[in-house]
Amino acid sequence: MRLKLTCAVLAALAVGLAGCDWREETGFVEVKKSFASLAVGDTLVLNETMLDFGTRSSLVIQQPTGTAGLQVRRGETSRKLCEFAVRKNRMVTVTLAAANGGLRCSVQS
Amino acid sequence: MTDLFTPRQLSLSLRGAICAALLCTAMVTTIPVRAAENGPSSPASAAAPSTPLNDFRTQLGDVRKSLEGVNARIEEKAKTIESLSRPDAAKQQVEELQALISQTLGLVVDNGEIAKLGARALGYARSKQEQMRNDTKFTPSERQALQKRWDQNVAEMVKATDDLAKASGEFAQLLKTVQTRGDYASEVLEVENADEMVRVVRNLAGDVRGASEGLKLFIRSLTPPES
Repeated sequence: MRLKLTCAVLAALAVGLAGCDWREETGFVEVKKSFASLAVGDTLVLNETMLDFGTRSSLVIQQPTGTAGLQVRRGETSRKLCEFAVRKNRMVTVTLAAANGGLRCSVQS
Repeated sequence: MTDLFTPRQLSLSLRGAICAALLCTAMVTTIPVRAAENGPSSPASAAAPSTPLNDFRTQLGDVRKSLEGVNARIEEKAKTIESLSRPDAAKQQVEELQALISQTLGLVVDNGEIAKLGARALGYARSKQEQMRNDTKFTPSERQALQKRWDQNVAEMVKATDDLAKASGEFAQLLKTVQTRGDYASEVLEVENADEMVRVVRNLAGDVRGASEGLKLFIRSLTPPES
């Protein structure tokens, strides 16, 4: 009986401690832009991360694995530019270019 | 089933699991705080008031040390890869290398903690710079001296945040190289040319070594802004 109890407690401890190693799997998105600036009031958003390029032409963003979406937000409205897969420990490069008054998105993984 | 555990034993084991989970949570939440408290720059941070500048300086110093450590491990991994002869081992080593570079890149990404601290510190330094420009409380010479210090501080802060951005670019490039070579090696393996696959991976070790040398120089130049 005592042995069973010890086993149960050890199993419980193992389950609890296994939780310590839990880490979210992530990958990376490199967002490159080949245009000068966005229209006034527009913001680029990758999933829930706002992208602020400042004076730079590319950013590297860590994201959880799965499907990621890039969109342009203006006030309450948003427009999806593209969707792509983020894979564990891998980089996906998204290039944004101006085209026909809007933005075009090309993805390389 | 009912013979195995009495309700009391079940309750005890459940309590054990909850305790372990709580212990785990407590460890996870307290370790980073303690690590930060006991960090190499803790005496300085204990003496200096906590400002966005001090927080950034401390973190940047820690990041630099981590980068040095991981870069050494990347070099070791490159050495291991060079001596490989089996395709399955080569594949595994490339995956491990990717994980290692990802871990490092995670430190310097643009949505990471250090980048956020850097932006906050730069904003703070700029606001102080502005405050000194509009100051009417101090004498002109005092104001000038403070202005000069804040101008210098802003310049150093801009350099440090630029360095971080450069680091994320460098590691991103390295990760792309490794993943592309790894993908090519997998394709070669798929067409059943094991020798060629091993050769591709061994060549990758050379690329990684070259990148690592460049990174070493870069890490040396990554200096936390002075107080």
